[in-house]
Amino acid sequence: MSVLKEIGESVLSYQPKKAEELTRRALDEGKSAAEILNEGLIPAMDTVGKKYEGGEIYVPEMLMAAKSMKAALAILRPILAETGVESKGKVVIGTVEGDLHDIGQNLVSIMLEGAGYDVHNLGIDNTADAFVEAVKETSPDVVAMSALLTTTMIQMPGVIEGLKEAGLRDGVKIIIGGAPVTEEYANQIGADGYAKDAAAAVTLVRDLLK
Amino acid sequence: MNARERLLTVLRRDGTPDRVPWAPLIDGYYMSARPPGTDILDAFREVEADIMERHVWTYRVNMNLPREPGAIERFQSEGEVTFEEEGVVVHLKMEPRPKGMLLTKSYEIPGRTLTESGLFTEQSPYLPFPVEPLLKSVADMEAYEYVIKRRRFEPNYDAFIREDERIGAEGIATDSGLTSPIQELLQHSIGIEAFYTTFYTEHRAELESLMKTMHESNLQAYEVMADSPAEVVIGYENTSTSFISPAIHREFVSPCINDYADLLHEKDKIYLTHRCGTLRALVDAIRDERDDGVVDISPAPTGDLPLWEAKAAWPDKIVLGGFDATFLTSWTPDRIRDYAAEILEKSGGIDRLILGSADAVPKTARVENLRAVGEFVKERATAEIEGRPGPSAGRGRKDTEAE
Repeated sequence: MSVLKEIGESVLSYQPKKAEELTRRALDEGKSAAEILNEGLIPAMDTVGKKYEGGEIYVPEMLMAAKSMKAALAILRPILAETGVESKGKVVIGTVEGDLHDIGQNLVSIMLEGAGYDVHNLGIDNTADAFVEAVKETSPDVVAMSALLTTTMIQMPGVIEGLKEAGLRDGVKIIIGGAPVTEEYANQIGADGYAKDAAAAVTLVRDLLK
Repeated sequence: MNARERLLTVLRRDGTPDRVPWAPLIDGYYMSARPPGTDILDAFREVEADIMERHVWTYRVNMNLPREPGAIERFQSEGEVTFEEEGVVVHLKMEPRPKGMLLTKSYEIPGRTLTESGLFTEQSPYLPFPVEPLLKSVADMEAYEYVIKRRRFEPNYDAFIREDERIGAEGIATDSGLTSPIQELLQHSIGIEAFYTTFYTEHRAELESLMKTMHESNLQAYEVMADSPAEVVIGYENTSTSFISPAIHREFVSPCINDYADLLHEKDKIYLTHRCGTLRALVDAIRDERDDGVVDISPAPTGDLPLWEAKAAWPDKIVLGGFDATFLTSWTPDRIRDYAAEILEKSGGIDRLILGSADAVPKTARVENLRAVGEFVKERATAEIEGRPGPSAGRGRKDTEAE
C-alpha cells in the first residue's frame, strides 16, 4: 500500500498518531505537502463525509476521523503556506450573538478543512459587527452562521443586514445551520443555503463555489 | 375523567382515556419569560394542559447543596458557599459576567481539585452554557471516581407529596432520574469533542471504570426513587445521534436504561426517558430497551421522528411529544391545530399517546399556539361524544407563518 493510501487509512481507522507518523514519513520520502493533502487526506475525509451521509458512521466517528486528519494537517499547514498552495476557497464561520454552542460549527469547520477549504473560525457569540469585520479582514467566499437555540437564530438576519449595509453581501455566499434552523428559514432571511449537518455543509459550499 | 386519571390511564396502559392528553414540557426555560412570581401550575392552566410537572425530585444529593440550616439562603445572598461532605470540600460560586451569571463549582479532595463552570445567559437562563468542563485529564477521572463514591442520595419525599397534592386532579408530578453515565459525561462533565477525541480513544479503560462507578452510584438514586411516592420517573437522557452513534448507544446506554427500568419496575413505577434529539437511527436500540415510554420526541428540524412514527416503531412504549420548538415559536394556531389533527389521524388510536412539546417549551413559544393544542384535544373529544365529525387535518385553514 502506498504511503498516501496508508495516510487515508489512518484517518478512516481513527488513528491520529499513525496519521502524524505517516505524514512525516511521506514528506521524508519526497512527497509534497499538496500531494499528501490532495491524494491522502482529502479523499479520506470525502469518504468520511459519504459514510456519514449514508448513515454508516455518526458524529463520534467523524470527530475521531477529524482528529487524525488534523494531526496530519498540523504538520502540512506551514509547508503549504510556504509553498503557496491555494485552498479551494475561504470560509468564515461562527455562532451568532448569544449562542455559546460550538460543537456543530466546529464539526463543519473540521469537515471543510478536510475538504481543502481555508476556514476562519470566529468561535462563539459573534455580533453582526464581528461577522462584518471578519469579512472585511479575510475576504472569504462563504460566511457560515450557526445557532442552536430558537432564541439566538433570530440574530442571523441581522448579520445579513450588516453585510448589506457594509456593501459586502454580494461578494460572499451566506449559509446557515443549527438544530432549529431550516431551509425554509434560510430562504426567508435571504441566505444562500442551509445545511442540515457537517457533511451537507461541505457539499453545499462545494456547489455554491462551483 | 380528570387530568390525573387521563394521564395515568395512558401511562399505566390501563384502558382508554376519554381523550388524548396534552402535556407540554413546561419548566424553568419557559417560566423565565413569564411575569415574576407566576406559579408554574398557572402556566399549565393558561394553555389548557393536563399538568405533568417535571423535575419534582424525591431525593437530595449530598454534593449538590449544603444541608446546614441557612446555608442555601447565604449562598443566594452572598453568591458563594463552601461545605464538606464525606471528606470532599464543595465550593459553589455565582458571579456576574458581561453576558450573564457564571456558576463555578469545585470539589476539593486530597491532592486534587476538580472545577467546572457554566454561564446562565439571557438566551438560556435555565440551562447554563458549559464554559469549563469538570474533567480535563485522565487524572481528573480518578479524582471524580473518588467524589462519586462519596455521593449519597437521601429521600425528600415530603416535598414531592406536597407538590403532587397541590396539582391534585389537574395532573401529576414526575420525578427526575439520573442520566446514564456516558450521556452525563458527553453533555456535561467532559464535552462531546474531548470525550471522543481524547478520553474515548486514548483512555478507554479509565473511562469505563469511571462510568461503572457512576452507574453504581446512579442505582442508589434509583433505589430511593423506587421507594418514593412518585409514580412516574423520567430519565433525562437527551438522546440524539448528533452526539452518539447506535453502536456506542447500545454498548453504553442501553444496559443502564435496562438496569434503571428493572429497579423501578420492581416497585411498580413507570419509567420514561426524555429523548429530544435525532432518533431515527436509534429506533431499533430504543425499541429493545425496557423503559415504559419515550417523552419529548421531536420531529425535524430539532429531531427527526414524527410522533406517529415513534408510536409505530415502539409498540410496547408510550410516546409523548410531537411539537417542535420552532412550531411553537413561529407557526400560527391554525397550523398547530392542523398538525395536532395530523398526529392523531396518523397515530392509529389514542392508546399510548400523549401530545406534548418536543423538548422543553422555549421561552419564545407563543401562548396561543400552546393553547391551540389544549383547545383542539378538548373540542375533538366533545365532538366524538356528540357523534359529529371533529376537527381534522387538511380542512383548508390558512397555513401562514406568524408575523
